[in-house]
Amino acid sequence: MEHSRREFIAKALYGVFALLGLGSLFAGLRVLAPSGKQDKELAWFPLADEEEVPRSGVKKAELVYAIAGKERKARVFIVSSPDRLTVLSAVCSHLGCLVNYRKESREFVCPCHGGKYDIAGKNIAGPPPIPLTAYPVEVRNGMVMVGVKV
Amino acid sequence: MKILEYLNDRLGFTGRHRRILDKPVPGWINYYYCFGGITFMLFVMLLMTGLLLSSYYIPSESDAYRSIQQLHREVPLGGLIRAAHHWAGNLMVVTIVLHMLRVFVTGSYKNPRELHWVAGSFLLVLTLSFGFTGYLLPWDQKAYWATVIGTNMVGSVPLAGSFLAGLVRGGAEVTGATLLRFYSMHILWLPLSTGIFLWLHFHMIRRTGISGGM
Repeated sequence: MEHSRREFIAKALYGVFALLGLGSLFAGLRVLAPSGKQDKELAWFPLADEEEVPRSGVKKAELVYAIAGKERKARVFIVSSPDRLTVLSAVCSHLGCLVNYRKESREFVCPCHGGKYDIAGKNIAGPPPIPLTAYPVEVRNGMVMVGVKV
Repeated sequence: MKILEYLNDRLGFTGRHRRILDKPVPGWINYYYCFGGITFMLFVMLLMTGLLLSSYYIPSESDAYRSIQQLHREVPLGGLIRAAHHWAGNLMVVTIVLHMLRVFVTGSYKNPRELHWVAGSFLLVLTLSFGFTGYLLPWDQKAYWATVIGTNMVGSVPLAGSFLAGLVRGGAEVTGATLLRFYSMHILWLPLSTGIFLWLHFHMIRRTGISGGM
C-alpha cells in the first residue's frame, strides 16, 4: 500500500497549495481593488465673519471642523486682497511645524528649519518640498466657509 | 479535459513539471537541508508582495512618504502586505546565513560544486543590495540618514570613492534622484540579476545533485 499512501500525500499537498494559492489570489485582488475612499466629499465649515476679515492682509484664525462627529481644530491664515480671498493651512509642508507670518517681508516663515513661503503660500526657500495647503473657500451669507475633505 | 491534453501536447508541460517538481531526494536528508528552499519561498513571497506594493508606491521626493501612509490608511490589507514584504526581506537574510552555514559545515561547496557557492555568494550580495535599496524607499528620517551613511561609506573607497558614491546617489547628495535610482535598482536591476543567478544556482544543483553530506 506504499504507493497509495504516497498518492494521498501528493494530493493532500496539492490541495494545501491550491488553498494557499486561492487565498493569496483573493488577498491580492482585495489589495488592488479601488477602495473608493479616495473620492472624499467636501464638507463646509464656517471660519469667520466676512466683516472680521481685513480688506487686504493676513489674519490668523482657527478652523474648527468635525470628522465623523469628532471635533478637530486647524490653524489657518486668511489671506485677503481686494479681489481674492484664500485660506492657507499653517502647517509647514516639510515636517509639520506651524509657520508664522512676517509682516515686514510678507512671508510665512517656519520656526523649525527656516522654510519660507510667499504670500500665496508657495515654497520659496528652505526645506519645504511643496506649497502650503490651500483650502477651498466660499463666502456664503456673510460668512467665510472653508471646505474640508471628510 | 481536452483543452489540457491539447496544451500538454503542444507545450509538453507534464514532462517538465515531473522533472522539476517530482525529483526524489536522498533518504538521509534532514531539515538542515531546507534553508535554501525556504529562502527561495521567501523570495517568491517578496516578489508577490512587491508587485502589489509597486501598484501604490510613488517613487518621488514629495510623494513617497505620503503614498505609503495612504497605503496604510486607504488600501485594504495594505499594511499587511507591506509588513509581509518587510519581514520576509529580513527573514531572507537569516535563512541565507543558515543555508550557508549548512553548506559550509557539510563541505558541500567542494569540487564539483564550487561554482554553486560562487553563484550563491552573488545571490547573498544581491539580497543585501535589495535590503539596502529597499530601506530608503519609505523616505522617512531613518531611511534618509541610513542612506546618507551607507553612500558615504561607498565614498570612502580609495581613489574611485567619490565617483562610485556619485554613481550610487545620482548626484553629490541624497536627493529625489537617489530615491528614483534606488527604486529602479530595487524593482528592476536587482530582480533581473537575481533571476539569472537563481537559475544558475538551481540548474547546477540539479546537474550535480545535492552532496552526500558528512
